[in-house]
Amino acid sequence: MTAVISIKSLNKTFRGSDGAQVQALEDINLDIVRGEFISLIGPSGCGKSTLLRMIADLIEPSSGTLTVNGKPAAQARKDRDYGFVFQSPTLYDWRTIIKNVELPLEIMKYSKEEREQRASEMLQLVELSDFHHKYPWQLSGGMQQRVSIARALAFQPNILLMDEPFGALDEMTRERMNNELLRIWTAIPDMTVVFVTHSIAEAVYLSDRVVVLSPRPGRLAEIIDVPLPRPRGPETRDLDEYFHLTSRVRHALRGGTMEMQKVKVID
Amino acid sequence: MAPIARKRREEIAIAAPAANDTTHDQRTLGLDMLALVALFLVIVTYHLQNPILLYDVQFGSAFRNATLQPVLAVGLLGATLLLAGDFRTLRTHIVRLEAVILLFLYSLYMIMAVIFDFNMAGSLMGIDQALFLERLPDEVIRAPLESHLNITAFFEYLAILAVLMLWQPWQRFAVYGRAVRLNASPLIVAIVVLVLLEGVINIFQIEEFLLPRPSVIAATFGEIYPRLVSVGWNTFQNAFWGFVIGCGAGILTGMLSARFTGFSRALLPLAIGINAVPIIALAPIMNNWFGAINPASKIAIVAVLTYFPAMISTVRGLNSVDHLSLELMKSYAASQWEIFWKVRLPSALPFIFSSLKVATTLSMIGAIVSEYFGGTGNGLGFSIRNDAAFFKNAEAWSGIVIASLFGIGFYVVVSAAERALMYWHVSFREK
Repeated sequence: MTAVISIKSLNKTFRGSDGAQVQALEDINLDIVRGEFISLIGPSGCGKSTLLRMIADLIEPSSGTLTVNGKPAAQARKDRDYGFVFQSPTLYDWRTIIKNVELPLEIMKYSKEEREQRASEMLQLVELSDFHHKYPWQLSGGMQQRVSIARALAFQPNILLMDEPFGALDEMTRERMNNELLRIWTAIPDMTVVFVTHSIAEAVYLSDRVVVLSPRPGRLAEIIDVPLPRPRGPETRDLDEYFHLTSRVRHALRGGTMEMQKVKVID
Repeated sequence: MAPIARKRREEIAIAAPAANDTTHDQRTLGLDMLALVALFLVIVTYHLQNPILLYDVQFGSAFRNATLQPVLAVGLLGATLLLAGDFRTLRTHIVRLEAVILLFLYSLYMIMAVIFDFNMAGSLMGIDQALFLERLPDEVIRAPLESHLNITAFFEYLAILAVLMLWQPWQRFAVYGRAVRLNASPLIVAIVVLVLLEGVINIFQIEEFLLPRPSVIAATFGEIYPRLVSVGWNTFQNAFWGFVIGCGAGILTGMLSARFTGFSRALLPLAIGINAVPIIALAPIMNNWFGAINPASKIAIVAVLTYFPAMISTVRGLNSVDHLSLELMKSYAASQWEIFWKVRLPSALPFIFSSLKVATTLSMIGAIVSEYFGGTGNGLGFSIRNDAAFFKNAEAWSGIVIASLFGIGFYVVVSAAERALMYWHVSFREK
């Protein structure tokens, strides 16, 4: 098993609005292997999105090394090694659905025929084949997010980075989207997914491993293996093992906030 | 899966009702305005192509202005193409197709007759083309021109019929009913204000040279509108070219300064400062620079007047892009040019268009007021100032009316362009 993403002693400090240095992430070490589905979970402000954005080279680390597909992150971005799905669908209102999916292919100078063919394949994959010529604002939130997944996969990257993609959806839609994501992930061999979420249920249900981050400064609190059988479906959520794993993640998350709670009780 | 699929289809149905769905009638008055403009142009160009109508009839003489004539003829062709709409759907509607072909031929005939001084009907009838250029046709040459008029009147009726077939106003009563309901209160207020004004002036016996009654202004307008249309068009051209130069330069430099942020940070405060200067005060200086009777002095004022709003809005628009959209482009390693063309410019369009709409009004103000400081005698500002100086107040007010008609027309055209380019924008989606 080779590491697709390799992170060594990574640190990130921001300069706050008052000029003070704020340590966002501290000494992160993590290897993500090919074909793995890995979730980053942690309380708000723990730097999980920051970590994902550093993998994507959207922001730069303060120190440490980070390689993607064996290359520095900046090079991997220029080689278009990953697709990124944001918290909001970020579709362009002036483009039809199919034109939105074609956007990365236009930038990567694919021919018109190939663009159209790939975009319709991707829309078929996310089950939106009937909506080629609709506009984003004519679709529901869940459908829009599926379009943005199709767009991220259109140029066949082998890494998919997802930043709380279903955070704005209601519980029912989110569970349906979880199943669709697993279906898509299984359909594409050797696809690595790094998935940022604040939902314990979602992280356990989807992942091979769940990386729990502690609150600021973000450190790796625990990495929890999820040996639930695949393919997973609604019945997975009823397994004892599933309950056991979700409570393990919950405890790992609480580990960081325990002291604060104690202080409150003494007060 | 089936119920879910149906559910999805329902969501779509709610979000985007079909055009023939009577419960969600999406039709606007756009087509009606276009059809009225086309009808107007059909009739006007008919008056332009024969000297009898052009010189002896008041309506024809209103559009005799040498630079206005070709614009009207080309405008008719443009209106025809807009009315035709999507050519692919035309193929299945034989009546519409025939109407479009008819209008198209009529437009070509008018363009030949008005712009290239070649009257096809006249040539078929064996009339000397030189007759059509006669200024004041005398009795001898009047006869062939009159028979030509009778023949071409038939073309005009056909063209009017064609517009009506493309328009089909009898199918649009629902739209008119809704438009009247929505706009009833402003219409009533406007009528009440005019009636009150008329009454108050009558009761208090305000002298006519101070404030003429609306009915007097309307009567005067009806008498002198040929002259007003001509001088209004001359002034409008200054406004238009100043608008093109000022807004064009404003948008271009706005783009440059958004691209080079250092440049923008250095320039923008200065631009905002200069924008606060009452630029119309520069008019006498522009007269010194370019010469008072040179239209360049008026165009320059309008250009300076419209430049800063256009530039500032462009910079603001280009910089107000959603930051996730930019990160998305960064994740694709997109070039600066692609980011500009695919994200920044479309996001900036709403800002740019709102400044352009303001600039239409500004440009009419600039073009008219700059003529108050001197200019050729054939401009609207000059005409209003002169009429007022000689206490011909009804004439001056008629000038003001024509000025606002030109201003409204300009604004409507720019708004239509906005609607066409930004059909996707939230302000134009179904209500």
